Amino acid sequence: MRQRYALRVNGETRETEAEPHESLLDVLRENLRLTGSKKGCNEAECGSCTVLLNGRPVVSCLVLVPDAVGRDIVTIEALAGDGTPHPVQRQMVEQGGVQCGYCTPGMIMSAYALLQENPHPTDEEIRFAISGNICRCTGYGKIVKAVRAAAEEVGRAAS
Amino acid sequence: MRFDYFEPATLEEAGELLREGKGARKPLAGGTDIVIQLRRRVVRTQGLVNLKRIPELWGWAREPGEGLRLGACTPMRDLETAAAVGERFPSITEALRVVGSLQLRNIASVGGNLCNASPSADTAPPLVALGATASVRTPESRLETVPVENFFEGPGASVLGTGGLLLAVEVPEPAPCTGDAFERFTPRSAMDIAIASAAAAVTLDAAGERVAAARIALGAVAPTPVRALRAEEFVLEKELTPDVVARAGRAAMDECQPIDDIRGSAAYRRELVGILVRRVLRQAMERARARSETETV
Amino acid sequence: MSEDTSPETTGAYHWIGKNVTKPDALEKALGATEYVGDMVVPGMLHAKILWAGAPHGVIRNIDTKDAARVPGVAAVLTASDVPGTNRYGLAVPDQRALADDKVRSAGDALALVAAEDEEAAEEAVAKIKVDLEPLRPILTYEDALDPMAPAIHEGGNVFQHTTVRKGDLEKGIEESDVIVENAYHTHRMDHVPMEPEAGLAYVDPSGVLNILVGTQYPYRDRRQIAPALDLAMNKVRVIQAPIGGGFGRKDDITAEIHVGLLALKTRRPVRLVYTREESLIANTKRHPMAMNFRTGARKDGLLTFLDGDIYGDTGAGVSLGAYVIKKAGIHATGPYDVPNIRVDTYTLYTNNLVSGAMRGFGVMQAAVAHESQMDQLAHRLGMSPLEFRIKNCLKPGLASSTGQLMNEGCGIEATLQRIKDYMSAHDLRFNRPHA
Repeated sequence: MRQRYALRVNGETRETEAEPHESLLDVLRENLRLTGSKKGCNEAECGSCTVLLNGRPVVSCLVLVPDAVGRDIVTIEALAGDGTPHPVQRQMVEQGGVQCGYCTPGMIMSAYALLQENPHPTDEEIRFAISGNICRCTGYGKIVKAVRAAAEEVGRAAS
Repeated sequence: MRFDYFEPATLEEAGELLREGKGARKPLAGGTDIVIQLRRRVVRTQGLVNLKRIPELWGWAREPGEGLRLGACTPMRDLETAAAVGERFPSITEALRVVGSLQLRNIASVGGNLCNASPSADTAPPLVALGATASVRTPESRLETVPVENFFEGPGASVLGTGGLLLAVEVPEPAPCTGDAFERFTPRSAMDIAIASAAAAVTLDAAGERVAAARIALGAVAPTPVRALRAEEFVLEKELTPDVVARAGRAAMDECQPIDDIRGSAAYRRELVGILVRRVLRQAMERARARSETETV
Repeated sequence: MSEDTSPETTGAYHWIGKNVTKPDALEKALGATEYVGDMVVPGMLHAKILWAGAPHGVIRNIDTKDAARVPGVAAVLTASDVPGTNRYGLAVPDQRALADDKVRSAGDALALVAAEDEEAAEEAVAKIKVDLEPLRPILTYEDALDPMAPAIHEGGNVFQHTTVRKGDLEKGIEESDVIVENAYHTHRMDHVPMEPEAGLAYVDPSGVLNILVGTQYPYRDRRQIAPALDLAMNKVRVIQAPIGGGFGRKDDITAEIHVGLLALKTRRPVRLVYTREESLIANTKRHPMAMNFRTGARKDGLLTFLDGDIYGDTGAGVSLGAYVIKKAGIHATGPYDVPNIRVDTYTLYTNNLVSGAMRGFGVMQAAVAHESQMDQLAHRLGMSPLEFRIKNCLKPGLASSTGQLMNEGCGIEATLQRIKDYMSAHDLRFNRPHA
């Protein structure tokens, strides 16, 4: 049965109607038109749909929309909300971590979540943090480099 | 995949909703198995009863000397990142780290991993090896305690049947000089499902030499996670020399009952069991030794 | 090693060796790029496909009556609704937009639905009834080569036979001190681009059919779409949308004709987005190949001959298979000088999924065979696998299997030498002992 849900997305409360079996991903993309989160597999295999739920990265394709009620949802659209790209976004561009771009938003959300929790990750920690995000273009090397560069940039800005 | 959706606030309410459903409603924890099964239409349901808003099913507690208690709906990632868990029960952390992706483990629960009752469930072998028990609420609202080892009844089937609920898992405090380890084999090092897995918990004697107690559990090589009883018996009161470890591995190979499927042949799985059992025994022994040194200091 | 003074590192080039950011990278990193599956236009319908799901059979009937009655359904189409040839294909038009006489692979589309939302379209697809008379499926190389097997297309199941001949094979065999002979099989592989296939079509006020699609080749798409739908070439406009990975598979027609047909019939915009499962069961894959290779060498380490057969499974359509498999034959020697060669390739129709272009285009499959042969020959000769390759690799002045003279741009020897230098500088050895 269709129901009204109030979701806290990127700091705003957004009201929408959906069936309880719909995924957070579909509601973000179709109802709220936040299409930065991608649908690559719809089965938690690819990580393209990664968003933050109460600060933690999750695959939004497996979160049923009622389960997201009352929690803070952050999508890729919020990272440059003030018009300035986040260092992870900028470094992904500068280090060549973006090719076809389809995995990129999910990859960036995983990397962003990592840096929130661990501002000085080792390469191994970076690889572990993005191991649930599949990229078929880059071979991951440049993505790891980009996350490392972003961590250094955030570190410099903080010091 | 249309269905009714319920969000009970108490266990009683949840039990009532499931009873009313007469088997046509299913409990929902993390949802990372059932949502996919519903989408693929391999499972059908008239309703999902979301257990995640029931406070008793959430969280974990670890008191030194008193083991570990974890609520069935606790996200895997909570335990995975808990130093207090990793220090005393490294096999649990090792198993959690390889389930799906980090983004999945922020949703998926340990209880759900057990209730899904896949023979390859990664959290099962360490819990079986550590002698964990499951607190279960029967459809008749009785509370029961079941060893995790006896929790599984076949692929996708557990003692819960329809209408039963897993409330919590309790891992007893290991005896002194005990070490544990988990290993699995997957072709890909991330985002894959075990072709075979093994866990061991080994208690050494006071001298830190001979095996005083051992439990070995295997995953993905039988209809349920199983213990390798003959291998356990073989290592008892022996020093874990390379020869003893190798023979224990062979004993486990002989007693498992793997099948051929898309992930691997029975023969390949059997080979893996030999290798994995050797590795987890060695690792568990080293950890037991390290622990016996710190405990005697 | 001497200091690297190549122009790449000294900065003498304008672009090479510099970090150049892609112009579209920032909008992708912001999540602002709209792929076809992200696009919505007013009045847009959602499409779903009924896939055959069975490899081979005669279509007796497709009953769409119940499907058409599902609320929200705007159109249910089968092959008889296709106004044009209904055929497409990169080498030859042997693929059907919608299966007509027969099902030739499980990835054949049988019917299309357009509806107000995806759920209605899915429900309608589930209500289409198909009456299929099963035929013996041709699934293996042996089946395809069996002259008694039913022909998948008119003209038999061997689509193409190519040959490479050089020198005198008998002489090469006689001169050989060691000969290794092996059979190699490579598997079918999906490209798995992160973006599943998608298309969005609409007819504009001037009557032009516009198709937005993440394609590798908009003009060649148009040349296939127009005849299939009986449109003049200037009545079809293919618009290149951002492409979320292709790796060869989006060289072929994917969603184009299906969304185009639905837009023509409904006169409304129609969007089709594959699920990952659909992407795996439909469209092209990497060719599985079976390769029987016999290769010889002399005691002094020089290659003497290659005698080989390559069988490529192109599935139920050629796509670019004839070129891919021919190329595997041309590259069967790898980058090595082989004086005497006999290689035959066979492009075989089967009822498996269509195989087409994928990164490497046949060369990868051949490499599995020729590099394994090189390792085994080196081992038998007691030579380092690296030295054996340096000795035999193509050098300026030598010719390839098909007679192409190596003059400029033959870098294999320098590459192998760099590996040798690196290994000795880092004290690296091969796992397998030799000599």
